[in-house]
Amino acid sequence: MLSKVYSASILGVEASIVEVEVDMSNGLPVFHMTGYLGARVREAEDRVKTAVKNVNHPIPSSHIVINVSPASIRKSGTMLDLPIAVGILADMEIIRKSALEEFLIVGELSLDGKVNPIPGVLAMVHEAKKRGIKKAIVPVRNLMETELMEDMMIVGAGNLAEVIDVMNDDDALPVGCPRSSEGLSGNEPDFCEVKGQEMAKQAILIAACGRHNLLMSGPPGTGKTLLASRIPSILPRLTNEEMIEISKIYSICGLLDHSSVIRKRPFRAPHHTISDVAMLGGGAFPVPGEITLAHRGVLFLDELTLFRPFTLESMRQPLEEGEIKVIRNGISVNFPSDLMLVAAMNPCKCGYYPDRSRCRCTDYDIKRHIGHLSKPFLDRFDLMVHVDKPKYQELVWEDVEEAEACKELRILKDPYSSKSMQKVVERVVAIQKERYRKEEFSYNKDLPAKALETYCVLDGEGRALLKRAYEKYSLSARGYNKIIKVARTIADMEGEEYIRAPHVSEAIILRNLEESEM
Amino acid sequence: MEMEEYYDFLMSSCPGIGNHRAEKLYAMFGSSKGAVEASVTDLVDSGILKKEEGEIFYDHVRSGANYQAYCQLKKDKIQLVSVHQKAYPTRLLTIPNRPYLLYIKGELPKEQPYSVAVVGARTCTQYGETMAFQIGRQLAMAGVNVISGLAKGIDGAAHRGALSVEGGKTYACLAGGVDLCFPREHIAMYEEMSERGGLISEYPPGMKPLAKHFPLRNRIISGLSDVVVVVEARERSGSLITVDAALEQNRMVMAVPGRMCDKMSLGCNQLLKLGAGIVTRPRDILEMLTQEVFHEDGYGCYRMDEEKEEALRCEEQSLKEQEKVKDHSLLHSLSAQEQMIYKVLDCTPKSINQITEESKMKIGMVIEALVSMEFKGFVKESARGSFERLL
Ligand SMILES: [Zn+2]
Repeated sequence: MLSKVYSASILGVEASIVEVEVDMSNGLPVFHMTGYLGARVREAEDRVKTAVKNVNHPIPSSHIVINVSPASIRKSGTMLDLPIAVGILADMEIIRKSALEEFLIVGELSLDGKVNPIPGVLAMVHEAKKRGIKKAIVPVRNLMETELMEDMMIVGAGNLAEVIDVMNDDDALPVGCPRSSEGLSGNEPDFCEVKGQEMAKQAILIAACGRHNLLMSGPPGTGKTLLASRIPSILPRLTNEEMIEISKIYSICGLLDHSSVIRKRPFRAPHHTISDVAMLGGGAFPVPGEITLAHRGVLFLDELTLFRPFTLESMRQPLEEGEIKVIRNGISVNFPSDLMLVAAMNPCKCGYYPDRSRCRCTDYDIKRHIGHLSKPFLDRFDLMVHVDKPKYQELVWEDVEEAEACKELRILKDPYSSKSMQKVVERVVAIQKERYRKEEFSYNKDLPAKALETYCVLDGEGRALLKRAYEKYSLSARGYNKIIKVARTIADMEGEEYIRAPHVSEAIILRNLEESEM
Repeated sequence: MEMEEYYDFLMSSCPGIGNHRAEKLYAMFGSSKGAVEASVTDLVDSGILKKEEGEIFYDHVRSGANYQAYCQLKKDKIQLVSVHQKAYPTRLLTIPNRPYLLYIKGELPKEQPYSVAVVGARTCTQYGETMAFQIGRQLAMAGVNVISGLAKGIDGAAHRGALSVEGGKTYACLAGGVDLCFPREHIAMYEEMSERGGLISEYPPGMKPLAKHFPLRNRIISGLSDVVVVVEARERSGSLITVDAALEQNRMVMAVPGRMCDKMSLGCNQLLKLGAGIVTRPRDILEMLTQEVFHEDGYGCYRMDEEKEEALRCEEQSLKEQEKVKDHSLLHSLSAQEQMIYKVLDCTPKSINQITEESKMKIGMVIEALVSMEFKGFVKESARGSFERLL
């Protein structure tokens, strides 16, 4: 007797559908598994046998062969426990065989028959939908993460007995899943909570609009982290597809906490002692790194000068291409890494430059401090802003009540509340999409040098100002182009077609560090 | 005479001997030749050197490497002047721990009429730099030697001021050998000074400028001068070591005042409180010199000649004119917004946030005005995102 169950396996951040074939026949009592299986898959034997027995269906002594195909894909993890159990139960004619082909079945079993959660459920369900499978049985604690999957009947199973019921009778369990609170908890950090720092907020807004990578420089304790952590709140709202894409990554990494999907853009701030694998992804069985966890969000590198130059160097290509290829043991996986890079650094060793009443670093010290940075990595940033010490010590509104009382009002009136800023960003992103509809890129950041002439037309005054800046700061060609790109974004923010002197002025003030300054 | 100079070189270049004992040896053996030719026993018996020191000295003066070093020194046109020579600066003769031997690239400052030291912070503001430059310039115009330490910031500005005058002379006392330019950025100035002034050190050529040398070098700066002028010194600034040396050597101390709350000038203001002379214009220094500094040939007898007096008067006048022109052109060449921002600015750097807050203007307008004024030369971006007003 042979039965076939659809299940799935994870590779990188994508799932592939696999077929679990279970054959039971008379003969010597053996339990044999084939099909390029990892060690954890092989451990299924004991869990499955015991679990099936504990839901009162003892397996008759027989010859059991299990094959998971296609054999070309390496399968790892415990998600095949449940499909194997279902296959055996179908062979035993406890589950009706005709139901098998309608379902995707994934889950880990415990000895008492309980279905335990597994990583990557969202990716598996998403893949099944693409393959035209309409129904899925997933561990009940993974059910919430599938809430964005429409047009699918997804059942959360708590134990094996429930699975048997569902497969024999469609009405056995309520279909669909409980909606979470839609992630609309109002406690998302908001820019209106940060007092002052207008220059930094303006720079952040510009960076977010043109997707430019941003470098912040300033003394310790000026709220660089406070500012950076609020950047996701002003990026364009995520589409359903993007939420699924991000949630799939977090689901695979087991970071969803078996609850809801990710509805906000991620903000990742890895410590400077991070290993290359943790940053870029990898490992014996490749798992995503920080640059993939920050996909479609913000990656924040605080204390940039302390990161190992090699780590930063290896991030360059993935940042440019929006994905990273990880090859381990002949397995090649692509992890996405389309993100906005924000970094912070102290301007000098003590951190207080240019406040000469506190900083006594010599020019040489300062150059050496900046010199620690990898120049090619520094080149990834289009703009740099100096964040200075706030006038008063408080960075955030002190009086919580007062803050709450006028928050509503401030959100509406403050041009630098997250809501106001997000509106600007969405508008400017739309302008860029329209302008670059025939191009391969969609943000000003990615404007290639040869396209500058086409898309960045300066008026007379703007051109004159740029020429003077070029001479005064002895700009490099790259530095010059960056100023034009940033000025393009500033002009877009004001909805202007031509780049004018005020736009160039702002871009000059925010220009990145030049190599000559290092 | 040539040989005596070589013996002086041998004696003073011996590690661990020091100025005081070099002089004692000279006195004991009647000449540096006598000291160099003395046996270890004689050296030790003199009671000046201990046994090991005597041996080191004995070996050192007989080492062949010295002669090569001496030849190189002559080839580099480095002069040597020992305390026994007539050319030795009279001002240095009376200071405690006077250098036994001076190495000079260029020349020594003329004894007459006056020498003034201008010292201050390495990291200074635009204000300090402008003041130091003007002081250096106007002193040089009056024919006064300008002495400093070739360091970045105030020192460099004072030297530059003196060099900006035709025929102006300026001298730097170094903390290492006179053949090494430190900091390297001042190489052009260093070259020019070896032609139009001099580089002076008590350390033999090739000696690196070590941190412990700097305080010692400061005593030579003040020792060579009649007045020490401090421009921008913080509370515990290295310039105050020069001031201590100056007071010990009985030199006049003057300071350029800063504003009350300005940390960059805290040291200067404290000096003023303690009774230092106040410099409200470079001429104050000249007046102090002619009134207070005693010379062998009379009290306050020095008078500037007509020509110098005239040049100085012209300079002062033209500075005033420039100021007026700037005031005038301000009104005309700056837009209303730019004028508002200019008023908010100061001669200490302010960040864009601060300027925006104080001017109550939109940040975009503030930035536009700042950039435009920077190109017009009214303001300076002293560090990224911080602007100060140019004087
Ligand atoms: Zn510092």
